[in-house]
Amino acid sequence: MLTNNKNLFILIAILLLAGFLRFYRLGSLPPSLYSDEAAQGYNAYSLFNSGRDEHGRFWPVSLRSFGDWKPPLPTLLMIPAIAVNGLNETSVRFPGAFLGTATVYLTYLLVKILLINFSGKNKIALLSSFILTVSPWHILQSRAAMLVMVALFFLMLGTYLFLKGNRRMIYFLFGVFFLTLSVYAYYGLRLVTPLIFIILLFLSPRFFYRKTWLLSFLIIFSVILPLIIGYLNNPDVIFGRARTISVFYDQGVNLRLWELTTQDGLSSDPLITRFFHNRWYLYGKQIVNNFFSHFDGRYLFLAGDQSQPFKIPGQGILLFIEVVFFPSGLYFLIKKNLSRNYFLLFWLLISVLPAALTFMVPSSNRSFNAVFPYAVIISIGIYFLASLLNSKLTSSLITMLYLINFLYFMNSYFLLLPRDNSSIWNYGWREAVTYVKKLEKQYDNIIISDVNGMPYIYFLFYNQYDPAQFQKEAVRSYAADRFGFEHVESFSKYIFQYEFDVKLARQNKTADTLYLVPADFVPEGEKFGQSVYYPDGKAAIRIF
Amino acid sequence: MKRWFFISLILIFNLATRFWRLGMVPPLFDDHYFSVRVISAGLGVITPLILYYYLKKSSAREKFAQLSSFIFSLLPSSIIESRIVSPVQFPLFLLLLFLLLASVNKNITFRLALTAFYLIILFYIYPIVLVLIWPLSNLFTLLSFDLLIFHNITFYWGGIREFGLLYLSFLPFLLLGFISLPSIRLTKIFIIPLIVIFLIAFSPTFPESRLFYLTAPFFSMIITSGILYFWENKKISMRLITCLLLFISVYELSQFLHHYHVHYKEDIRTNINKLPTNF
Repeated sequence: MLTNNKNLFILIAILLLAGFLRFYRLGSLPPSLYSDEAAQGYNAYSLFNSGRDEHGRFWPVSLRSFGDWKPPLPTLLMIPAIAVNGLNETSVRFPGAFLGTATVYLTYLLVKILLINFSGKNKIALLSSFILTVSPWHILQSRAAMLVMVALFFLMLGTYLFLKGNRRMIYFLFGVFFLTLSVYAYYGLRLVTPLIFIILLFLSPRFFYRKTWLLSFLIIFSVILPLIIGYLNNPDVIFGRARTISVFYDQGVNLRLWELTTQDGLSSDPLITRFFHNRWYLYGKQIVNNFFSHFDGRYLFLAGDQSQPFKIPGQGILLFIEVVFFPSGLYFLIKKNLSRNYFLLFWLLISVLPAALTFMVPSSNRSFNAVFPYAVIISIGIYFLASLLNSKLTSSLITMLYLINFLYFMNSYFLLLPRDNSSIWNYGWREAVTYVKKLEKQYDNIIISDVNGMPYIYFLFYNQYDPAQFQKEAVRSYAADRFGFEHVESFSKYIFQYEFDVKLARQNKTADTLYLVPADFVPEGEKFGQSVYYPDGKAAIRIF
Repeated sequence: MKRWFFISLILIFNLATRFWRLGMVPPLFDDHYFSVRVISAGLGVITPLILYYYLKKSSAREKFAQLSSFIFSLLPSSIIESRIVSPVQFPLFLLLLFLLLASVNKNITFRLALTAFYLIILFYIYPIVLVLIWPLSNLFTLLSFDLLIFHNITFYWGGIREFGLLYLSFLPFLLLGFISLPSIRLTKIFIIPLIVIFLIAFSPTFPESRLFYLTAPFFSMIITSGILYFWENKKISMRLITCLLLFISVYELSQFLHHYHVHYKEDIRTNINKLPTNF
């Protein structure tokens, strides 16, 4: 009883810490809404007010966004927060932060059920929850509305209920429901969830009861039916822009193949050339290399993800101290033959698969589901190492090192990120829109350079522009630029120019036109009436 | 009485040597720095006293504590650092203060917490830990799958770019070798490669890392353990997997030889100006 109370107390303390780390200054940290976050927020607002997305589609099964397609669940979950709190940064990020905190609790439950026959399961469950609470990777994704946090929550909830369903069928069926629902949260899960589901079948004999599998198939079919209908209307809704980010889309491998074939020369037998230089070998090697790049120590513990906006200055995706606990955790997980240990390993490997099939690797976003097995494996490492050394000094030392490392991360995330990475998060558009709003009556045209950051979405978001009116006014050709992005050309008096020449604009400027241009695209030495600045004092947007 | 007299003497000496003409020596080029100099001088006055109390508490020898404190006050470096905006004045004050606190409270958790707190502050004031990042990054490079299988970073020293130390098909055997070997035997095999890898990581000539070759026999041992583990398992499926992987390794060997004899010389020819040495 005493132990139960102690566990409960520790768990509540962990959850409070998790909540604090995820909700503290949620609206202003990261320093600005990323364009994808703003797009989801405005579409949630549009669906709430007009029942249609920004393109005028009635409750779509996939949301078209800047030439990409986004699964709808994260956006739909924003609607209650927007309804209560209005359209702002906090409302957009609320579901991620809330579900991020909830995954900490789910981790506790899931670990207990996974390690059901192991005597130390309570301690490892609590440790795993704590590791997830202080995980830089998990905190970053919980505080930004980037789809994957919602996806992880439904994947974990579905898995937990599925396993719990060994005793009661109702849990099992809810498990099937939430697992299937997770494919509406993130495209990567359309590959991950079926694979996890297959492995779960080996752990859950209930599925093979006739009544259960019939009901399960009925649930799966009902949940994915809208997706099937959506697919019949537009095949892009299934895998979005997976084609354009796929490893097969990257021309690097093809160019290398051409180079090697050419070097073989005309004298070489074509069959031999093909034997050595073929797509199967080169792509296969590339995919395996991509896969293993996610286990590179520099990515895990030092530099982290280098792609925007998932970069934290001087921080890996895991805490550096975990460099000791992760390998030892893997070792103990296999050597001690813990119950269902291979499930955790499979989860880890499967989570990296979607990222391995793309060419921008390593990717913390596309492999985010791995955060759960990482936390559990690290906890297993801590648990067995501490038991092996069995002294108060070891526990104190581990705590001290964690504290130091976590404070280092806090400094990187809460202080350095807003100062150094504001431009990555498209900082400045909120300030620019607020400024323009005060002056807009004085101008007939407001011309905005659309070279990066999709500014139209910020004008919609921060002006809380009437969705029905935007759906009527928006001028967009749906022609993709060289990076595959689709732009809005204008709405109301706002004109967005993709090809923007500052000098020409200044020469031809008239009194009734206001121009906004990102400062990076303005020649140095030019003088402007007004500027928006990044927190580090550099100019973000010039207004003239 | 005698004790207070001596401490007062140290105090007066410190006040005089730290504060006298503080704004003039050394010359002050920016007035904003004066207030920080005052703090630095103040710490310069207090720090010897903290040293005194710490030594008194830890050694229980009054004379030793008084004399050490006085000698510290006289040192040129303590006078110099107390009269400028110094990044080490505050860490020194804090170090002695924490030592004093640790000598008062002997609880291990308290001491570790103080150490942690001190290291954090030291990191912010004087980020010496960052010096370790470079060898750590090298270490992770050397321990990466990328180097082991996919890329050789010693291209400019005679390596072939597209092949690492091992063939990809050996990877399952390597992993299984790691798992299947008993801990003591694995430690015996892997201790030398680990030492070699650490030495290379700290080498100023990195990415020149041909010393990595010293690890090759040990990797071979672990791979062999993996192959034997697979093969000695009587299951037909395991034997089939072993045969398949060995078959793929033959293909990889032919790929390697083809690259080495056909493409490698082209690569060398186009990079001839960048080669730091003959090989």
